[in-house]
Amino acid sequence: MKISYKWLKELVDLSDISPELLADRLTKSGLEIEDIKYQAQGTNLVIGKVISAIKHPDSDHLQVTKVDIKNEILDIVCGAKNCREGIKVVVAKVGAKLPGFEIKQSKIRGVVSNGMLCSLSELGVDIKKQSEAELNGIKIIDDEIEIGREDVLEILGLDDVVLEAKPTPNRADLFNMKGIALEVGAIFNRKTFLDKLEFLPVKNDLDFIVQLNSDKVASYSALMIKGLKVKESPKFIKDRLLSAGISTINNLVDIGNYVMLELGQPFHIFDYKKLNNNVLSVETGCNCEFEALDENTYAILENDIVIKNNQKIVALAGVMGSNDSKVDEESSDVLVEAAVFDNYSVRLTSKRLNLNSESSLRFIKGIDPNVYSEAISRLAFLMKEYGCAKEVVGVKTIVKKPFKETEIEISLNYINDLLGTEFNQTEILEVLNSLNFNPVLNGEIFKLKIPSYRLDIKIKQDICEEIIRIKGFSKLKTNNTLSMVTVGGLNNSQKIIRKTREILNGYGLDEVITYTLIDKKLKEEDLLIDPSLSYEIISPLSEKRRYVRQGLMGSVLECVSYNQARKVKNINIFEISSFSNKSEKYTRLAIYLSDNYLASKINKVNIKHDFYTLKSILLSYLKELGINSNRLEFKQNNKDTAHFYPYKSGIIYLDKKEIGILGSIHPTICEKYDIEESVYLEINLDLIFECKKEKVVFKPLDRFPSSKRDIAILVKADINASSIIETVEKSDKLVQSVEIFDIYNGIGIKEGYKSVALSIVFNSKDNTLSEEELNNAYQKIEFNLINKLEAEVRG
Amino acid sequence: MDIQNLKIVFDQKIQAIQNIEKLNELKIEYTSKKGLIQGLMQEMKNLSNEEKRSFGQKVNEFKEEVLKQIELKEKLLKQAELNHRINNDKIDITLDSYNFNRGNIHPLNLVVKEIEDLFISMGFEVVEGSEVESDFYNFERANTPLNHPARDMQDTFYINKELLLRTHTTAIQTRVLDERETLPIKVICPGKVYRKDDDDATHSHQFMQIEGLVVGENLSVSDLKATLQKLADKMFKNGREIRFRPSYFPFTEPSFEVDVSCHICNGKGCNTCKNSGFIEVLGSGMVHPKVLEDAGFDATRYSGFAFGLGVERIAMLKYGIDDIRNFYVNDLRFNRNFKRFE
Repeated sequence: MKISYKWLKELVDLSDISPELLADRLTKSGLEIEDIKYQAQGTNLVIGKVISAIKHPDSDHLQVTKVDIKNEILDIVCGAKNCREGIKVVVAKVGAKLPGFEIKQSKIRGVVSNGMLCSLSELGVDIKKQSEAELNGIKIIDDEIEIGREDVLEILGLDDVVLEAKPTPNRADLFNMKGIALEVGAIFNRKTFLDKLEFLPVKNDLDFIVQLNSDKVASYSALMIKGLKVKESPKFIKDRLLSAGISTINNLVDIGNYVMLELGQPFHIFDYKKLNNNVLSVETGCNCEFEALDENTYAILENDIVIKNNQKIVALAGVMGSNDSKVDEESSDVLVEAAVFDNYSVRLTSKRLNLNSESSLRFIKGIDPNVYSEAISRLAFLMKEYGCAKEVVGVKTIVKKPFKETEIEISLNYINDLLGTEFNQTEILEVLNSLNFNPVLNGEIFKLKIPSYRLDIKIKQDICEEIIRIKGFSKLKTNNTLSMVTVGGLNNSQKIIRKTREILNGYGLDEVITYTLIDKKLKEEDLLIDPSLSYEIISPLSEKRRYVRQGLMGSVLECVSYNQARKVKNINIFEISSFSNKSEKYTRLAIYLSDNYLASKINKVNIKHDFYTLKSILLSYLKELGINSNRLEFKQNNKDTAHFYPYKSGIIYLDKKEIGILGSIHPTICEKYDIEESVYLEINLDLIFECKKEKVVFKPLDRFPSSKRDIAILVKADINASSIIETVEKSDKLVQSVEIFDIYNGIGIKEGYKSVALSIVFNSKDNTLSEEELNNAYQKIEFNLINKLEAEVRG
Repeated sequence: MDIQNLKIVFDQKIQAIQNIEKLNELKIEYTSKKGLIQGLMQEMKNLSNEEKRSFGQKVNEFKEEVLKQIELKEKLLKQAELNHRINNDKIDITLDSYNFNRGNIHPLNLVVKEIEDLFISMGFEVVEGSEVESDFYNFERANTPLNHPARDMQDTFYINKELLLRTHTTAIQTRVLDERETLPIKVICPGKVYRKDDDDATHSHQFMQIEGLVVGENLSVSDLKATLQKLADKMFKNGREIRFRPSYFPFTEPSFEVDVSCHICNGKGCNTCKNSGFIEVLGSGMVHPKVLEDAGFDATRYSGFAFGLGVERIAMLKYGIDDIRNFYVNDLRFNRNFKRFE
């Protein structure tokens, strides 16, 4: 909403209130002013007459002028081509402040200049509002204007200031000048001049039938005016419409818009002669086409409110009139509609057809349900005055839903308790009066009647907001009286997520956050989940954002691809995200590793991330959380060989329950995302949140020394490490730990076999192990390896 | 040889010794069972008893002296050897070999963590909720009327008539209000939210919010203001001035927009605050009585306040980031910029 300062000044007392002060207070009271635009600016300006203009001795394009400003004759050097003897001009005297600069006495190529002859641009006038001539030279003033006058901006008609306001969605009353005047009156406690507006009362006796056949219209008035003359609008109307950003058409249309801007009631004007009979009906439920006055044809749906005349749609309520009932240059008799339509319906229609106008905007925000009669009288007055109307015939008003005044009762204590303030009764009464809430004090209680233009005021809390915004927020205390003692903190899963980040950061992994909505391509990478369970957006922004993801791989690989393309180093990343699908909610962690774990050329160290670093990170991470690796199992991946190498990946089980997958990414997937071959893990964190964690307790240290023995065995190549270790561990209770330190299948080893070297540590908590005890245990191990794994003991 | 001469010779020899081996040889030469000192003892049998005593004493004194000197010499030699070794073991300390890089938490989570910790210290719990939410908890319970523009298909990602991607973390609050039966409630609710905006420098269809909710007895706007003062100080260093402006949110009444004095210019006016001295940071208000009543709380007896902020906006203001898309592109060079919250 653009507010003309000059116009507002006629509606409310703004003496001593500058546009800047006004903007500041309005903003602080809830009406945000986003910009203050001066049409033109300048101090120390005066109208002068060029009495001589001669060429500058030292320049081809400058002229040396003598300018008469009544009390003085100034020598001014001017560079404008249109500067010549005899014209009247705007003179900025020495000391004048213009937008962006100040005028000082100066010498221009050796000639003294005591001021400047101004162009409109130098006064800060928008170039779009200037003529070709004005843009190319100094402004030439009408010869009738006396020299020496200092009210230059008024003479130019450029003395207005426009404030760009952005009302909050609930303040529909701030989309018209009357509402703003009332608001300013309340904030500054100033008188409004609304009682000075002139009206022409019209009787509700028009011989015309209005039928309201829809419950989406609250009231409808049809005003008939005859004998109008279409012409240009008077200057003040044009100026004010332009300042509000509304283009001018002719007096009939402009007056309608003017009253809408002034009082907030939108109008639609029909050419009466183009109507077929004296009946208008408001309806919904049509399914047809409609040719609007913009000459486009629109499809009308059941929920659209339409105005019909003799079975024909003549207007789409609040949005646009029909082409064959519109006013034109020849119109003389008109029927003016002033109605209150359902704002939701108007919004749907306007949005669907992409038809937005100043009228539809106001209907959508919600208009004052009681302003129509005042607006009609105001329109009638202006039509008579500036539309040369011969006869205001009358109006027909039908009210379907009468306006019910909101009544609120509120006590002083309630106000002070909710706000945490210490206002007294007199202060509150003053604010309530300034807002026209008609307060009546009944004991401790204020009884209020809310005016019809404040549709946003419904409950006691609304009143509190009004009080504090008018009194000013500086009245609010900030001493914290919040005395409810509570214990805060993170819950178990939140703690684990934080810990996860810390641990993985420690391994050099960076966290990423990617989008939840993904496309078909990325969706194919949702691991270990039924793809049909994913949610789909009804009408997505684009195909790229159609599906709600069920896994992280697609998003993470896309991120990797982006970074690899930009040669970013150390792309080792993780993401944690929660998910919802048609059957459950869950949280997952993804880890992607590609670069070095540890590298130094100087020290000839280069440990690349691979399956084993990934697995080690997982085990170490889980151990930190209190989950020992003996509760984990890694089984042959027979679930997803589309995304992973079949024999370089595995399904992860925790306490016998599947929690995820890890492995080397399949080459076709790497190719699909244009990334290097690398390793990836995705696990479900919910089981990790819930599962039992090792207790943190003191375990006595070993009192007796341990003994170590190595053993080398020959086993079939497909016997895996975990089964060898398990066999050894379970052989004797003296076995404390088992480590595989070498695997060999080269020369000297028969086809299909491998040699595995193990280091076994024995320990007892009761005594130092004797040679006999050791041998005994060792023999059991040999026995089990031979019998259970068909191993051949090599030494 | 008499003691005197042996002493002189010993002093000369030990003086000349330069390493431990030679010192050990000397030690053996003098103090072993067949050594020179033992040899002196042999001479004792030729002496009278009285002479024996005084001679024996002298030999013992001499032996002690020899051992003492050898011990001293050994210390000196070891010290010299150590000095030699460490003085000749040199590396170029200006050389860098390994590059240990600790990974980074995502900058948005960095901000979230900081805000969570502040409120945890004030006794708040952290609640997260679900990103796929019902229309009911996202809108209906947040007092957003059916005809509110936010409930249009055009503005919200609907999955079906009942389900949607939550448009604000208020959806978490409405659930908390519904699930809790006892007061007070003090929760802070961070999370991802979604709106149907085309992505550009200042808009993102996915972003993060944090909202706080307090419900109990005798809560006023002043309590809200005091809480937000602490938040502003934490986010943008101490001594921030906060300014309330009336606003409109369906969930709260009264509702306030909260501006914080600019952390760059301290309120004098600069590019960041567009010369206003203040930055719009928060939305807040007193919980609408209908919201409380719908959740089964007596709104005449209890009240509450709520506030919310955009995590991206805070990060952008704090670090001078000019494009919101940076947070979701995850160019690691960007992500790694934000190591600490300061």
